[in-house]
Amino acid sequence: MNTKKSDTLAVRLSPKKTATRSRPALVVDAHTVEIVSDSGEGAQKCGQSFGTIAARMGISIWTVEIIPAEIQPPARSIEGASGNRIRLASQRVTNGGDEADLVVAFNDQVMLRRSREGELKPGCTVLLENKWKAHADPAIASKYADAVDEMVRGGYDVREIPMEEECLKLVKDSRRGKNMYVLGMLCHIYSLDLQLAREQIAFIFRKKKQAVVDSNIELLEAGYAWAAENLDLHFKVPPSEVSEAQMVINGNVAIGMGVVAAGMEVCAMYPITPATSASHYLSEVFSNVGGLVHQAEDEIAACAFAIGASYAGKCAVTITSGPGLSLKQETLGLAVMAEIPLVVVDVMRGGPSTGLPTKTEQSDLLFACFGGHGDAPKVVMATYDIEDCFYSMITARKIAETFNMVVVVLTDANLASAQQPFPRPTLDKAWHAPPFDQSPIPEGALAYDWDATTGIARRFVPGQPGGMHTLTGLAHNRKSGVAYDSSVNQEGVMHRSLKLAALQKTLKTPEVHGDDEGDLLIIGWGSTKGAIEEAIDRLRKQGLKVSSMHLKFIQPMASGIREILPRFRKVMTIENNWSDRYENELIDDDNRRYTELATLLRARFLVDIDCWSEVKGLPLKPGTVEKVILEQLETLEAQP
Amino acid sequence: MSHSASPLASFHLIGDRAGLEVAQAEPGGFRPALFGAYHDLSRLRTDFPVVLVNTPGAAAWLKSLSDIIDDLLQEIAEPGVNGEETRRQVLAQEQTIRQLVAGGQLGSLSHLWSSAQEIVANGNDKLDAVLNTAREAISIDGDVIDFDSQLAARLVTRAWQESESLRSESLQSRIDRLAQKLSDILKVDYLNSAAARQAENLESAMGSKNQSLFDFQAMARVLKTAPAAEALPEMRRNRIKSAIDVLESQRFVSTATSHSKRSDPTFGFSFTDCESAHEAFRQRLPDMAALIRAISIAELEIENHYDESRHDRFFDGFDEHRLGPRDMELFPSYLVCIDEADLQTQEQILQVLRSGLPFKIVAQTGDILGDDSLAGGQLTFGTRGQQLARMALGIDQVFVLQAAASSLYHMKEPVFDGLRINGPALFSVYCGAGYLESAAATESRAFPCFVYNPASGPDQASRFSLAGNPCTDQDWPGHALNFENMEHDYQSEPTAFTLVDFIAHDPKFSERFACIPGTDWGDELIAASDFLSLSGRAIFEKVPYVLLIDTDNLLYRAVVDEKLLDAARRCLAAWHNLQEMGGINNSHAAAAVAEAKTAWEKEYVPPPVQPEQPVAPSAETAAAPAAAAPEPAPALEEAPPPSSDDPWIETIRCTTCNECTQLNDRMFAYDGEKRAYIADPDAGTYRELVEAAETCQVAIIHPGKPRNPDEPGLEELLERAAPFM
Amino acid sequence: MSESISHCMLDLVEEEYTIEDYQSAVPRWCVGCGDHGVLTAVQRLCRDEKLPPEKTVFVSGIGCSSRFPHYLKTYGFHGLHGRALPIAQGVKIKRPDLHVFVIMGDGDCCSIGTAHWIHALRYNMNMTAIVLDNSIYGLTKNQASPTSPLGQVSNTTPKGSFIDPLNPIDVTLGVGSASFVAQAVDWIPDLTHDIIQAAFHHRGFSFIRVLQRCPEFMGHKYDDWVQNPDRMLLLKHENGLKISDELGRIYRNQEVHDPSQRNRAREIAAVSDPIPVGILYQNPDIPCYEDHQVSDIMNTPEIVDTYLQKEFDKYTIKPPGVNA
Repeated sequence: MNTKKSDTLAVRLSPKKTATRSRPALVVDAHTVEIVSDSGEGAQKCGQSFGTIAARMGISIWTVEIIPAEIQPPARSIEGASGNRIRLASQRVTNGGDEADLVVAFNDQVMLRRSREGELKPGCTVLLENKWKAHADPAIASKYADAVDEMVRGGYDVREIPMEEECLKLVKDSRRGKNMYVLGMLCHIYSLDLQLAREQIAFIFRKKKQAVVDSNIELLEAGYAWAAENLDLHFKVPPSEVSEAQMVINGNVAIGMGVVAAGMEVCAMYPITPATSASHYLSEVFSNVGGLVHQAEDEIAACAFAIGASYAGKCAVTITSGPGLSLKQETLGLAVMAEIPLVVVDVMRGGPSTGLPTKTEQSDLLFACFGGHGDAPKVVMATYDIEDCFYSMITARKIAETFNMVVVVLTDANLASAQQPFPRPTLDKAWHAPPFDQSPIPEGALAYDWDATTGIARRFVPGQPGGMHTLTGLAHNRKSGVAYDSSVNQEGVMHRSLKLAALQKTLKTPEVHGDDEGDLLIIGWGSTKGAIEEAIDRLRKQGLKVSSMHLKFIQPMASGIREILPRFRKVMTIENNWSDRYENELIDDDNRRYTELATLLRARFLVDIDCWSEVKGLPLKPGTVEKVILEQLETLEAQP
Repeated sequence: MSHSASPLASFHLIGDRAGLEVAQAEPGGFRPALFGAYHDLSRLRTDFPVVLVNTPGAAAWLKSLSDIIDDLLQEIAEPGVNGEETRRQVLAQEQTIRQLVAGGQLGSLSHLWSSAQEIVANGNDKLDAVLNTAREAISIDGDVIDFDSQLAARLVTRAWQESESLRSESLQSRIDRLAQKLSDILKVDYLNSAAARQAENLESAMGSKNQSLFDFQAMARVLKTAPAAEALPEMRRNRIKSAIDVLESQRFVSTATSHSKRSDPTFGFSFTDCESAHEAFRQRLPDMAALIRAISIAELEIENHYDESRHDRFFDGFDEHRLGPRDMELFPSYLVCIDEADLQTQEQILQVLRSGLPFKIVAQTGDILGDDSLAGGQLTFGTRGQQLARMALGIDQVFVLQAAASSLYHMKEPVFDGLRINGPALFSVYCGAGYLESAAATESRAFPCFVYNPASGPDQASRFSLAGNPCTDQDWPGHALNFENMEHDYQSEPTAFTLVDFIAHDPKFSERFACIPGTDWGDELIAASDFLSLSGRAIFEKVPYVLLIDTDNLLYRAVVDEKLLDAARRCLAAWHNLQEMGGINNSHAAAAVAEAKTAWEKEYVPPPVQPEQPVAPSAETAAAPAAAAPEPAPALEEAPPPSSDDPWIETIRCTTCNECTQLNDRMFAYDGEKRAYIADPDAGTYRELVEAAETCQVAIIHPGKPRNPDEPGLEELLERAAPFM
Repeated sequence: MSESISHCMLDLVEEEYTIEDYQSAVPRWCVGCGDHGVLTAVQRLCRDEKLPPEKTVFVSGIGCSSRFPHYLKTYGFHGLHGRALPIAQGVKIKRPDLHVFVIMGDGDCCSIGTAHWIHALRYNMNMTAIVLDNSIYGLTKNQASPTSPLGQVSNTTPKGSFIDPLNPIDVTLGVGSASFVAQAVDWIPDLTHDIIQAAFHHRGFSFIRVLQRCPEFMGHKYDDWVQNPDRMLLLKHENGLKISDELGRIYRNQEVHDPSQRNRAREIAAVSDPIPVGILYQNPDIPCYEDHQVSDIMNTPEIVDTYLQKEFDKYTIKPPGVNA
């Protein structure tokens, strides 16, 4: 894919030759890198490419997007930081990790942002664009000086680098391509294969002119060369031994692919962050398999449209985020009442109200379970990593159509934009939604012929001769006639509720991560799985008796949990939603509000399950979990 | 001086050359003078060579090299002087390609382009670059063919492939769709079955990564009790299965599904004689019937419309005898290309055409004059080959196209039409020894172009066309012949091109011309075209000639044998006949016009001066604001309302509000449109009638007179009824 | 291309239907309610057009009018207040084979569902929407609606409604891609039928407002118009409605109106007395949403498989040593 020219360059720059100047690579088994810039400077593209290249070399990665709330925040502003975090490791990584070991900052302010948010490891190396140092505007220059000063005093290893200057030797506008120059630097620093980097550039600019590809490759190689000449930083992260082909995509793309793989045909949505990118992907590909994305006039219409499509014979999906899910509640009630299968994806963000649109949180759980008016039993499941985002759509579709239920799939901003390689799925035609059922309905069959045991009724689809009936959101009898006598409503509600029990009977008890008895059991759900389990592993290495359990199905909840709880001295949940803390003077056992999962578990199992949580809008860090657990264990020790 | 014995005349009348000063034809012989201008065709930008475009999605299936180059220059060469150089270079490239092709080089345009480019650019990088960009600007490619005896066959074949691809695409996608829908029915049946609810099937359907989540045995148990749809009846399942089999194993078109599942190759539809084409057709009839049957069953099944009591009988007895022309339309047509059809073959062709089957026949002939049969005193001659098309015109609903190969490029649309339409088509084409001869055949009316397309309209005018012939409204097309006369002055002489001129190009007939050098042209000579319009004695006073040239382009007047003029007259008659079919000098029309004219002249009286007419109401007034100008109601004589003695209802205004029917549903009832009428006036009391009238929301009930004089309270009721009378 | 044999087979099975084939329960609307007449008109249409009941779907909202589907023996979707349109769009989008009708009240369409109304006009999906506009909330017992006339006394406007009523036809004509706009009155059922029939044959989103009496709460609002045919204005045109002689005799007040004239349509819409009845605007050339959105590719496991494999390739990375 690359041009003659860059091949010759490749020879000139082959690491062998430059090895003489740069010292041999220091082998590390994990490293976390951040690239931050004002938004629009391409730090994200740089970071994702860096991650992909590393992954292609077999290094385990997890990438986290660093997103500003606005499209174009003021330049050089603290809040403007935009970019990407890439965690490299030789073992499988399941989360964004703790603090960064190395940061590339396009300006001093975004650098400060990361350090002040405590995202940087003490003594972490900072590669800082130095063009601001001698900036015409004295205010900027002095700000720069102060920032560098603050960092150095903070004990960081700040390297001021003439990125702009170097780029301008090759291109006129350094805003175009500085990120690829940085990519080149990083490729050398982490001993990544330059050829793979070229291919990556060729791929991301595949829709652009060859000239664009060439100039970016030129910058890449220049950055690589410069780092080799001038930096004593040279690491190598040994590849983990993965044997099968891997996919590198983020959670929302995985959702989109899952929708296609599940054989769904209609996705109705209304733009909302951070859910929309899933629909972006679908909009791009769906028509090629006979599907379509309907951008409705509002969230309600989107849900109603999906319900209409499902009613017409094929389960549809609507993808949204918290505020959207609130608006959909009435329509979801209709789907429950009329027993129309439907898949709803809620990409959770900080709330309430507009809250933290670009940041992650786990506070829609209870609302997803109980949000609707009246008794509206829905299936609620949560995705826990990128791969799971893909398969969850297939599972959700199948459950929805098997039980004629609404299935809410909870994922979050963390997974939405995070990338993690996972084994390329082997497609199975059995995943695919069944074709429109147009088979004739026998004389006398009823539209809601509820099965006494499971509550399941066969649904009639328009086009089926003999199935004519008027579906209604009113309480209705087995004929789908509006109910005028009191007993009918009770019958309907009962059967709709039974379906949850029926599904529950098919669920396996969640596995315990670690020993299934001990001092402390951490229970979690959703995207925190990786961080929690990593912390548990670390602590268990130290010989501590801690285990964890992660729930995929929250409603219904699998059997067997009740038996597990007593085997631990203490059980607590760790979540990304609010729970009151005893530090606050007013908070005591009588008024403490627990995290959402804890509330559910306490209610169901009558066990005093504790919880710890934070709502900083950031992915949970294994280190944080580690700290929390250690504190808990201390207090446990203190108790007799 | 006496004319009777003039040596010219005697040659003209009896072919006697004695006492004639005639130039001897040297090898190469004499050619019609008008050919003079065209000695090296490859130097002229004619319609040939042409490119048989095979680029998918291209706009045209056929394009001449010169057109391609012209379009190209439009695109890449700047207008005005700046573009001059590019134009020159590209035209040089075109010229080189022409010569290559004329030199017998074959291959695709792109192939020839590069060979030509090597010659033209020959190492010159700048020129090379220009031609490269030019080449990239050409979006189409395909074989380049020059004028030759097989031109018609190759051209029509390409067009046929094009039109068939359209036809088969639609059949293809239809078959794929039906097969898919049918298998969907089976799939749904399976998914509704118990089998689909077995643990392992549930497991694969749930998404492979989730085994750890579910106990699929338990799931199977749970779902056992859930209500299931009843299985497909065996009869129906088999019917659907066999329909799918037929759809997927059919060999008429290649379909997405077929590729994988089908072993036998797709049928061929191109032949070189009617016999085998017809035979193939006959052998395939059962397959066609089977496919039509499967398609019909599929359509019915998919709509849930298959009713065994109704349809089984129909489809059990369904075989090729039930196929109609509309069914044929689904299938590819059969192409037959024939050279020099002899009388027997011609008979076969006509037979096939009469059958109405979708056969597209190309009959090529290289010789329309045949041998000089005049020796045997035979009169018919010079129209051979024309006969076939003429006879085909006699058959109803057959597309007929006759043309000399040289005009085929301009007739590419009609050619394509002939292939697109359903049913038979004949393309009778003359490919003379070369482009020039072939063009001359059209020019001289020896082989005129015409198209008869039964699909293009209800009447002759819309179906028959003479387009493609020169000067269709005249007997012979006229040209100006330019030459240098004895005094070495430039001279131009109007010259008609007749059948005789055409015949003159054929050495077989050189004996029938006596070439008189310019030195002895006497005034007794008259141009053959003029001679043909002479009548009476004049015929004996003049001697007809045509203008010929020898290999050195020396001009001669050649006296013509009377027999050839005979042939010319017959040819002209045939041409007049065609003209009439084409609506030119139509005798019926002429007669009718004449009649009308005389009639009109008889009756015509000059009109008196008219007084000013009041202006009729215009659209504006009709469209004035609603309240302002309500249009007067249509002037209709009122339908007499029923006598007010009987109760009645203005049924048409009834709003089905159930008021009256609930009051008394024996007295008031709804008609087929659910509108109320009085079913039985005696089914209730007069009181009920009056109350109904009062409660009726739209006040359309009229109670009439009381039917029972003894009903109590009549007086009061009659008062209340008054407003509704 | 001709369907030939299969076609004549389909003709062979074409059912003859009667009004009763489309009638299920006995309507529970008040005696004298305008809904009855519209129901009959719709049943006549189904019969005349031979609509297979299983291929016909009536989607409604909530309110008196929205009980409509329950009285028909087709598929029905008695959904949510104001949401009939988006549901109907979902039903139609992948099922071109279904005949979709939408029945709304004035509250459904012009109040809680206004957003959907405006955007349904934008999408211009091929279906027929009928607004049964009685200018009052009936099922919830007498509250003013957006189309209630000034001064309308109701439970929520005891001193009489004080906001100018919204004119649904005018609003509809204001949306650029509106493609079929008509007004009917329940007391001329024949015209209601003819208008619905024209709407049914229009390819695109047809919007019909039916002015209706509510004997319960609107008392005699329309009596003058009902009883005096001259206070109706019938719109006719060779491209619009044709008025039967029988009706012509009764309703003499007629105007020739070319449905392609949008501006004239808006003038007519503004008139409330006489009440204009007929097709105000029609433009068959406005593209349908589904034509653009729905590809003719069939969503089969095979197609999905082939396509996803290609997609996967884009994002697949092969660790060193793996070549698959």
